[in-house]
Amino acid sequence: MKRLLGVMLGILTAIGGFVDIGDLVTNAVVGSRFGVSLAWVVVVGVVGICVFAEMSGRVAAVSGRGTFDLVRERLGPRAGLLNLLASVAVTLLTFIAEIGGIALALELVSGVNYLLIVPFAAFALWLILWRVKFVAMENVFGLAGLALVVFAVAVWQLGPDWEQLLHHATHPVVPFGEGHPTYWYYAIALFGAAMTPYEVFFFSSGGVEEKWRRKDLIEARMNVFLGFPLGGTLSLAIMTCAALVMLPRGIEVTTLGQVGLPVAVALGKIGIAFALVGFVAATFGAACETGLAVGYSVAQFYGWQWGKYVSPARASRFHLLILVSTLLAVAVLLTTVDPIKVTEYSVVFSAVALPLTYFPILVVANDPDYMGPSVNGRLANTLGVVYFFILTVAALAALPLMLITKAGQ
Amino acid sequence: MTLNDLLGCDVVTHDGRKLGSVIDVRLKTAGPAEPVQVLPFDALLVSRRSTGSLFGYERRREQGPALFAHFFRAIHREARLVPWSGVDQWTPGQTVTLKAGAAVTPALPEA
Amino acid sequence: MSDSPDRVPRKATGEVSYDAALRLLDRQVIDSDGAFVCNVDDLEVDVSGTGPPRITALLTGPAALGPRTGGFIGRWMVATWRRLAPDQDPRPGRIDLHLIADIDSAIHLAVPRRRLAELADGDKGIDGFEQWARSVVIGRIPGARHDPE
Repeated sequence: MKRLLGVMLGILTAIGGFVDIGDLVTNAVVGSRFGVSLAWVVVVGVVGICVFAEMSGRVAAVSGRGTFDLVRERLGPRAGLLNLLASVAVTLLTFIAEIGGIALALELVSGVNYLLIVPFAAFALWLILWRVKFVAMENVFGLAGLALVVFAVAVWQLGPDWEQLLHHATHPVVPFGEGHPTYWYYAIALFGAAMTPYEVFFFSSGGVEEKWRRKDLIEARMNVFLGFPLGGTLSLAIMTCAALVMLPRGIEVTTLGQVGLPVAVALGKIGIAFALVGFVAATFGAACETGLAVGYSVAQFYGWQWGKYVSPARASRFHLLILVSTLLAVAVLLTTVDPIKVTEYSVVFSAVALPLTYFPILVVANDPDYMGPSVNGRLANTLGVVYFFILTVAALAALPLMLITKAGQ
Repeated sequence: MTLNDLLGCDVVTHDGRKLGSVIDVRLKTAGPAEPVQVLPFDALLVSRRSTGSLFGYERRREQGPALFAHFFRAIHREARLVPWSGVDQWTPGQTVTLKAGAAVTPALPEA
Repeated sequence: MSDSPDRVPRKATGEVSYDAALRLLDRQVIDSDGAFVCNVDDLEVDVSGTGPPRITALLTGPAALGPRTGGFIGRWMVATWRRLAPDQDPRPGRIDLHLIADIDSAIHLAVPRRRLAELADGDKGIDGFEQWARSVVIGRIPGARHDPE
């Protein structure tokens, strides 16, 4: 019974923890401009993250080590360092976006200008990373993030023509008024938002933090194969809400408040309350994950002791790095750069960085020295290779499309 | 002296032909039951390219995914194994010169 | 960590040879308690005497990693490190091979970290940055020594 509850908790946490500021903003923007014609990208992205999360989780459970350990081993110090710099840059960018997201969410709650909230949010975040137990952190934010289910409820309440909706999703057409390059630019952005690199660093390092062993693999797999797809449906719900409410009225999404607008329309004040709880939980949880991911990446590359499973004094460089990253994020946000814009750039750059992250995982998951008998089977390898091609294409197309479409104008 | 002084060195035959560069060194151990004390050089792995040399594909047949294995083995088809006994001179950081008649065998288990 | 993950021990695979770059370089070094020590940044080679050259120790730290990274970045790494730590011997940290207990996906030592510090006899090559971070920043923040378990 206790085992069953543990499994359920894991799945629920995975669902609630799936959505971050990148998913919130990108799905809403896409829904408001393209309707559900890009819904297929979310599906493709979710399957992709499931494939690689399972692989990286398996590597962590069997070898006891996190992802960036392998990057340096496989690529060597020079290529590995370049990979590290690129990955850390993208993860830091995402970290900044997430903290900005927390401040924006709390601004909606309190009415206080988000810039004033940034330092306090960052301090609270740092304190949690300093002191709160890993599992407690995951569970609280994961469960609170389930409040985002309100978007699914809102879709139901808005009473759409389901047949038409399904038709538009399965027969995607670039809407009138939008160009093909912009369509594909946002496809890549959505893909980057679904398959964020930090998720894999975090998931595998988290597996080491939680001391997974082979026997925990089944539970880890259920978290991934049930939790992530259901989390993906929340992303689709956000997109559909925007498609139903914003698209017909030609409202563009540029603020976090507008992301929640459809919920207000459908469910009124109570809906908004849930949405706000969901926003705060999603951004706070993701900020914890990205902050830790920066620390995990660098520490694993250099061989430093890392993790929340030891006292901070035993992992001083790791915690110093997190502290410095947090201060850097605050400094950047206080330049009054728009956090929504930072978010939009972070998801596209995430797509660019994807091949760097996933290639070493795919190689190591096949290495019998690492995995013993738990190497990839044919299905994992086939999917892994197919996705590797997809994400390489996306990575190569991202920057040219960004230039052509002037970042999606 | 460190391993870095050997990796990347050009490998040249006794008559001046360049075979490639050192991409790895095979070390002999005393045996699986013995503790690790010293690891003497056994053979050099030489290749004209250096990409993919840390992936292990050129050394092991069974490693997947199949597509990557085929790709990396193809670009490392010419990888060669030279026993250390076949080495005449080693100028650290620069060149390894082989003796005349040094046994050069393909690195891949079988073609 | 008291129990270690299910590793694939070298003894079980019956290996008799290692490819140095593939299996030793850039690997994580873990002490007998399961704590992460460092990464293998280079390997010490002894060319003295008769017979082939022998690997005798693991090397770690910017002095070892810099030359391996090579090029401008590598030289910059070593230069920065030397400027920041003028009292340190510009030698890499060294771990003798006989301290190794097992090699699988990582290199497992037979001794705990503190024993390495004793053996190093004041040489901070392995842990210099960690000690600095602890004494200057992290150790001063309340709760730094709080054990999460």
